[in-house]
Amino acid sequence: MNASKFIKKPRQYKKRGFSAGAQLKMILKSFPNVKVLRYKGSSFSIITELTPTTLSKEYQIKIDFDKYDGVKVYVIGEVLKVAKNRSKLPHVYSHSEQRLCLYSPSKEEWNREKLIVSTIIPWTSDWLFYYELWIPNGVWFGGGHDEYREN
Amino acid sequence: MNSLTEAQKKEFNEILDLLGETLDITKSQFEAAVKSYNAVGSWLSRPESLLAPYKPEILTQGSFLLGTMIQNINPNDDIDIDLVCQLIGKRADWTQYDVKKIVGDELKKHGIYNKLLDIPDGRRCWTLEYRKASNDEKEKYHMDILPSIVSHGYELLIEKAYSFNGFQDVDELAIRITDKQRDDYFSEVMHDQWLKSNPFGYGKWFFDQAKLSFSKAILLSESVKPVPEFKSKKLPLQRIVQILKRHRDMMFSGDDNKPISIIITTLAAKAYNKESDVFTGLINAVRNMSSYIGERYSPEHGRIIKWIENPVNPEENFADKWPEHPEREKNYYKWQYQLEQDLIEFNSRVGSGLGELQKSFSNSFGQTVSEKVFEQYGNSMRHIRESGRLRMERGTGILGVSAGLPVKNHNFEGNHECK
Repeated sequence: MNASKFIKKPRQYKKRGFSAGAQLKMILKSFPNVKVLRYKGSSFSIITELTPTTLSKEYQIKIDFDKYDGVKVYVIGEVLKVAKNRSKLPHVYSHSEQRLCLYSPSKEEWNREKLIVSTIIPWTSDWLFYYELWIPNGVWFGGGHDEYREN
Repeated sequence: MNSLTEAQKKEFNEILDLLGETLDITKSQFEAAVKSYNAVGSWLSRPESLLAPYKPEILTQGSFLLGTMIQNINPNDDIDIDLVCQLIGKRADWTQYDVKKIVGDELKKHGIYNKLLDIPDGRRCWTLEYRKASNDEKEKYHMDILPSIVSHGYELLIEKAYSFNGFQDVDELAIRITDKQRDDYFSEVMHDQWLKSNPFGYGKWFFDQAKLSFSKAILLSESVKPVPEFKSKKLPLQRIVQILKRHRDMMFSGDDNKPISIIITTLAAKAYNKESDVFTGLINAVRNMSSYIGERYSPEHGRIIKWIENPVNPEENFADKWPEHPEREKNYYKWQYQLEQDLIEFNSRVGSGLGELQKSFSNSFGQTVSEKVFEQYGNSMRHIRESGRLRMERGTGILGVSAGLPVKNHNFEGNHECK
């Protein structure tokens, strides 16, 4: 039998997830221009610019991270347009705060063990991409739950 | 115009290629048409047919041959398919009138074709209106059949011309056709005295302009085969012509004085400089098309007239109707101006979002088509993500398949608060 099976892997560390510092460090490595609004112990708040395609608009994104509270993503600096045939933004937790809904918590697509820079940030870009395509007719091509299904 | 980055051009190219694909006829439309015209060919060559000794064959010409067919703005309108009914030689005493009449008579002997046939015949063609027999979406087309005579060995000549780059003498590909408006329509039996037309020479010229590398030439030789294969991928020049024709249709709809397809195709093909992407090719074509409109003194008109030379017959002017219909010339230049304006408009949309670009596309190419294009664009990005190939550029967040951080799949689901 393979002895390594009985050697304890550093799982305890991983379970606790990445620290705020580690998350931030990894973000800054790929996005050196990120503006750090606040970084204190187990939480931080940053602003970054994202452009989903070369033909797209540039958006300002605020990311709030708290090791215990998770991650929240907002589009800031502008009031996002709403499609003529819709009353609110697609896939958001809050229309007025423009807080985006990016992944399925129940499927554990994101948790503290995953790096924000390789999940939350590209998913935000992905959201912006489908948001731009949503504006003309209010149709969401990005998948996820169907917000417009008629019951 | 702002100059775009290479990455932006690439993105534009992708969207314009999707536009061309959306404008193109579908595989089922294509296959239905091929099946129909092959059936006509079989009928005309059946043993009892008066034409049988001359091995009649139906071949495509025009945009079907060039691969530049587009859907109509109104889906209920017919698609035109231009065909050649090719005979190898003829009975020595047949005049143009006889050839035309015998082709018509043979068609009339067939129960269905008899009902589809447009009476009287056109100046040079017979027309079969397929929609008369069918409510099928795929059969909303009519076929213009051009009776023609070629010499023995013509088939080999065509094969050679379309397979090799070296083939120079396109004039050898000319066919002889009948023309009701000629004085010798009822009398001339020597077919080498009949009106010359060179649809296959033109096709050869067009493909030479379009092809990007030697290897593609072989692929193109398939277009002249009796059963051509449907191609969903097209060369940039084919896409450019499709986009230009659609823009023309949007601007002039049913106006008889709109710029005709052969003028658009010829000028675009002359101006095309083998750009490997549709976007750059389109911009350059639009910028340079008009410079290929020449001028010649016309003794008939006693003045200088515009001249758009048929590349396979310098004596033929595709703009020959302009002197009698000056609004056609005016419309061409109006269209040219509008194209330039629209390209500037697309360019100015860069940085204001894909939704804004879609709106500009709607104005230029129609709403339904533009919606389809951007839906496809969105769907293809989702497939890339779902198949694990999506990447994000560091520092910008730009999504794509080339370099950057790999992006894991995710679902825009959230928890109950988000629903």
